[in-house]
Amino acid sequence: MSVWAVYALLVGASFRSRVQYKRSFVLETLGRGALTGLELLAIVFLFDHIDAIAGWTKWEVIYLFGAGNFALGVAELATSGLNRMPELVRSGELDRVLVRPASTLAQVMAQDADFYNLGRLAQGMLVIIAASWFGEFGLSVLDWLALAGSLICGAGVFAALFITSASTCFWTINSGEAFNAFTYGGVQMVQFPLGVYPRAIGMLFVFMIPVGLALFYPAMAVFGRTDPLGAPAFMPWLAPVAALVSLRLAIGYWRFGMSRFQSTGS
Amino acid sequence: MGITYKLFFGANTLLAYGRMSFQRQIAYRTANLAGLFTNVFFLLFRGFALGACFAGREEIGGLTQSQTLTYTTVSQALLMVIPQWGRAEVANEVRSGQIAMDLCRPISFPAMFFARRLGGSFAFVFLRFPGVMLAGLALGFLSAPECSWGLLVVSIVLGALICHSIILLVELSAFWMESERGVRYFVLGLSAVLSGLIMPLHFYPEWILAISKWLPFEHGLYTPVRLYIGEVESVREALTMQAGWALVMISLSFFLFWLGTRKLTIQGG
Repeated sequence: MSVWAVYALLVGASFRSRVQYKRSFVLETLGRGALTGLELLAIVFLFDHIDAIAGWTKWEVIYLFGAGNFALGVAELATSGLNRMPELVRSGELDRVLVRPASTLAQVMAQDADFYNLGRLAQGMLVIIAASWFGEFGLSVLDWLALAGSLICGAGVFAALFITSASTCFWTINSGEAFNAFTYGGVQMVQFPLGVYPRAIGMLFVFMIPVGLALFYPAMAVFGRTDPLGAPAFMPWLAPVAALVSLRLAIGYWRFGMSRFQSTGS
Repeated sequence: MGITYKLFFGANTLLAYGRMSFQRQIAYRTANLAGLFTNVFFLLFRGFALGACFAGREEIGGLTQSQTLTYTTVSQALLMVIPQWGRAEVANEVRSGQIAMDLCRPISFPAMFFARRLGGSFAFVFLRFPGVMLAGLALGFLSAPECSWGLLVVSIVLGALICHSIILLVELSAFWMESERGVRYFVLGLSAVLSGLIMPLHFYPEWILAISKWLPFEHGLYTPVRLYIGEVESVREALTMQAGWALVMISLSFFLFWLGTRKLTIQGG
């Protein structure tokens, strides 16, 4: 069986187990949607007082908000089983995963996948649609394709961060909690145009942790805004490269950790 | 003996619970450092984003840029001392039946909960507050407080009590539902807005403030931070409101807990 088939099978099983409790499922998905929705409210009200932030208009900033949340939502959904890594390592349950003849990463990612993240994802999508409706961006089909690509790349970068964070479990018992600064911090960061931050932060989130490169640069090119970092014009095209390289590195790091992993056994 | 002994014994036990949870919190050094790191990052993002809104503007919603940046720093510094979310400890205990063990103890469960949570809050006074305040100072965000530290401490303690009761009430909803997580996220969203965590409540329209007046959220984190930047009409009134809400919320959590235990059935095994 291929990696993808195993992954799809396990995700399907988790989904069926979650929707068993219908009321809980609906409530929780709505709850998560409300959580991000209320944050959006803050941005909307902020624009009661101002016309633009760093040259970006209200609906453009709202697009950024939706894009960040959608990309993070997709990544969370795809990798949510990784949240259990510290527990799997500690309890020795990971050994059971290891003896199965299928990709370990795919198994852990798909097991107990957390479908409540659909709330964030769906909400991000709705926000993007609303932004393009009310913002009247006047974009061409190609522009939309570029934005769609940017969302996929963003999801890839976030997924890479989640995998890297979970891989630290092979060495320490606390799964890299510092990565929250880059994942949840990253989605907070891309909610506002890169130009509002000091140069060092911009550079960090474009070149080191390419959340900004994947989500901000394509939007900037499409909306025709100026680049605060003054990087070359081909930068937006590097978004797919950034996503692929980060995923590659993250998976490499996971495999390296796995090769060094010694279960305590019990 | 009798009632005096009982009170003394109770207070001593609660103090011990508080101390234990304080020690547990400071024990994990890497986790604490990682937490501080994340906190400072959020301060950076929120501070610079809100700061940029003042381009060519003197004030927004009655706050100056310097007040807003101070506001952001202090609210981030107090975020873990006056927390807006819990870790589902109680809810998981209710679901698994583990809570039966706690019910056997000769001490009130909600009192024990508050003792533990306050112990944790107190740990963050040392673990988080100074670090984030220093970062704010280094970034040039922070100005000196506009009210005495004594009053601030009172307001912070009352705020912490209010927020811990909100958290307990969310946890207790597990008595009535298979999963309390929907309620948890909904309350979290409400409190993220109405505690002024995302941006100062000054920036929201009148009608939101009118709704907020009837809810406990703004008295947790917002009031102490507002005291700090000197944006309070009457300090006495603000503190009285906090004390009143603390009393109401604490009583409510004791009552709801009592109601929940009447309904609870533990299956022995």
